[in-house]
Amino acid sequence: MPDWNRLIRERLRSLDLPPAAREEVIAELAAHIEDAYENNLANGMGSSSALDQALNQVSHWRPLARNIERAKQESLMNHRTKQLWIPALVSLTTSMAWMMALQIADSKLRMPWKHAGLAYVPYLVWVLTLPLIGAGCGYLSLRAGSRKAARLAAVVFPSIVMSVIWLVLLVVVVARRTPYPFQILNFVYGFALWVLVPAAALWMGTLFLPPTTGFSPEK
Amino acid sequence: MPKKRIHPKIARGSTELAILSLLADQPLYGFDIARQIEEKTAGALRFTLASLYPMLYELEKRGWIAGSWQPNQAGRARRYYNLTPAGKKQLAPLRAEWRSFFRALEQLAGVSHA
Repeated sequence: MPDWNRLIRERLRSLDLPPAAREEVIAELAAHIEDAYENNLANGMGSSSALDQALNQVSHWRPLARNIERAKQESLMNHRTKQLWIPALVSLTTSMAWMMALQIADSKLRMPWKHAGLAYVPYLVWVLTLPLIGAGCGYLSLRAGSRKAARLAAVVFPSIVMSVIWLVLLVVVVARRTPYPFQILNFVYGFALWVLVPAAALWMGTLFLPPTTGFSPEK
Repeated sequence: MPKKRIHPKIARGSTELAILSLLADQPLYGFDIARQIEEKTAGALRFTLASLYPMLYELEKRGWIAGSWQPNQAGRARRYYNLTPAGKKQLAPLRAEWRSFFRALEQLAGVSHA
């Protein structure tokens, strides 16, 4: 019995779809060819001609790959929105809004830590609660069927945005040649506090999520 | 007796209606859809893998049908397609459109549908 998936995968090499969608198409077309082959055998054909006739349903595989890509394109964009962009924007707005709320509370309320000289408490509260935001956004992305890389990018999106801001800041500071000496250590310290630590905290929230659900017709 | 096969260019336009009409009765997977179309039209309409699947994916993208993997009678995983509520809504206007098309052809060229 031929390896149907391999036969189709070889012929649809040019099919440019994300891995899970691509594997699903290959499995579906392989199942169709398998059914056609068995139907041909049942009609009295020999094994070789049954296979040839089943595969001859497609005279040109490259145009078929293009037609499938075209037919799938918009829904893939929808998937990308659900898997990456929506969780990323939720992660960004939630983490920023939460930080603003903590800062407003810190400035308006008589918080006990002010008298204890603990200026970092709002930041610490923010960082310690970021894994919850990471877990929520990771779950949103996972539920939409994302792979690990897309999920990670969505969850740490606030840190990606912050890293761009910090790099722009670095370029501006270096380009303007301010009279003050550029403090590389301060830059690294700020970068770590606003980019690396939040990214790690957000990422930690995804550790409790189940592994990626790739395509499997047996499910 | 098998009917004369309809030219693919003419048949292509009817794919949507053929698929939606079949799925209105029961969920089917790709090979079964192709086989039933061929059987029910006595071979006049025939869809190969190359003509069928891009249309199935297109209809799925529009939200008219939805596919899910389920075991068939032989216990093998096959992607069954269901008609969605949006697809059901499309079926009546599509049938009406084809009826008007045949009426127009009849008036123009003396062609009537069976």
